[in-house]
Amino acid sequence: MFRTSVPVLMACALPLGAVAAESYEFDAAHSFAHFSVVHLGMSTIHGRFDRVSGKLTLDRSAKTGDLVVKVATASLNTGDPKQESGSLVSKANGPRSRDETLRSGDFFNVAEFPDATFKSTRFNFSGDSLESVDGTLTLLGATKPIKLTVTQFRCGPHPFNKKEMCGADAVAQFKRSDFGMKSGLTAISDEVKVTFDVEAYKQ
Amino acid sequence: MTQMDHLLAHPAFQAAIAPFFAALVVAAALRRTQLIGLAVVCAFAVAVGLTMGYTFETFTAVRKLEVTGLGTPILIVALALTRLHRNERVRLALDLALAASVPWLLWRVLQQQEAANAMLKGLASAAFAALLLDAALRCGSDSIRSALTGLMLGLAVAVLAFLSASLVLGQWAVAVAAGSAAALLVLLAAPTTSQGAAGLALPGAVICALAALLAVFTGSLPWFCLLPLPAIPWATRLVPQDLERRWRTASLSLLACLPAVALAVGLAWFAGSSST
Repeated sequence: MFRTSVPVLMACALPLGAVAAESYEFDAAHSFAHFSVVHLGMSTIHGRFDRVSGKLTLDRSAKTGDLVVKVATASLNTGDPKQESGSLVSKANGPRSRDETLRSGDFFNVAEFPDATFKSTRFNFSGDSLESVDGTLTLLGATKPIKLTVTQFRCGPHPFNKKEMCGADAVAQFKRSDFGMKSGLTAISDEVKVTFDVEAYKQ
Repeated sequence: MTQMDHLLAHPAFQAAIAPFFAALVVAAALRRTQLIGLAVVCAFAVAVGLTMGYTFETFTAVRKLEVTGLGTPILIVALALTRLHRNERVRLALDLALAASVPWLLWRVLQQQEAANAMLKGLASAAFAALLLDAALRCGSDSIRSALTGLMLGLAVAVLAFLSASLVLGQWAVAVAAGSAAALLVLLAAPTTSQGAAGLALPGAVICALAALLAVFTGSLPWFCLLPLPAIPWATRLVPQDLERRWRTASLSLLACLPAVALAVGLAWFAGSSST
């Protein structure tokens, strides 16, 4: 009996192990990346990337996972999309807005590098809760290690449509000069804080 | 930050003051040689060092422009040694070489576009660069015209780059203008002019052509703002050479360039103000 039951148990366990890793895809309507820099050492300027996509594979029992986040850099928005002709700001700074300046070759260089990508290398759990994700950030064609500190992570059914979903807030900090973004370092801080606020549905 | 750090970090010092004085020293040392064009490259090198530095995290289009600009001394020395600067075929070869470098420069930008669109833009950009360099090299044997061409092209492209939202490209173009101005000053003050006209026009035209293209492709400058630029070197040839009255000739040549510069800047300003 023992001989027959072992293979049966193993056969039953295989699908369970395969199910343990769950795949999620970002909900574009509720997933954003925010960034902030210090301007002139005086105040903090915030910006947002409106288009963020990504995939998460999570095995909570094995405490492993895989995360890929892609940010469309041209979708950045700091609240200054276009200066009005004749306005005081336009007279002082010329006809180009802050968002246009940030999209130019001096900063995010969106014409050459339309995407910034985060790829995980390791998920770090504290007990059952996800604490941080180690990975690499590819920005302006340069790839550097970075740690995403997870400030909030929760999974469960959507309250209305009951689809399984996960939501997370995570924060990271890096020096933009490490990625070759060296313009305006005296006026705009080298340290950039990035926050990912995402929701993802189970596939 | 110390006082010196503040000075080194100031955009005007990085783009104009430091490059000008560095170029002045080089131009004064090389004023009787055909290598006076190295003064413009020196100004550019100083500006690159102070703005972006020489670390290459990624080989971006701006870094390719940097390498191309810093590579022009090879051609300046070759022109000086072979004395081929008046040879039509050499001029054509230089035009074609610059045209061929344009798709390489813009490769990553063009990759993001549809093939037909990318090919059209690549060819048009190559033609523009070749046309601008050809016009600059046609300044003949007059070094003062060549220096004026670099000065006015540098100023025009600097304003276009600033209006296209790129400070770095603008600073580098200002450095070309500063280097050319330093060479011009030395040439006007010296009793005899050097014969390095082609070598003097070459770096300024190459750097300005590529910087202007990057202002279009990586900034937000409309392409038609570049059309008046080849008229700048052409305008310097409207005023006849007069070595006896160099200051007067230079002033008139400078004035002759102004309509083309004003047209390019005006187009960029109004395009920027009216775009949605």
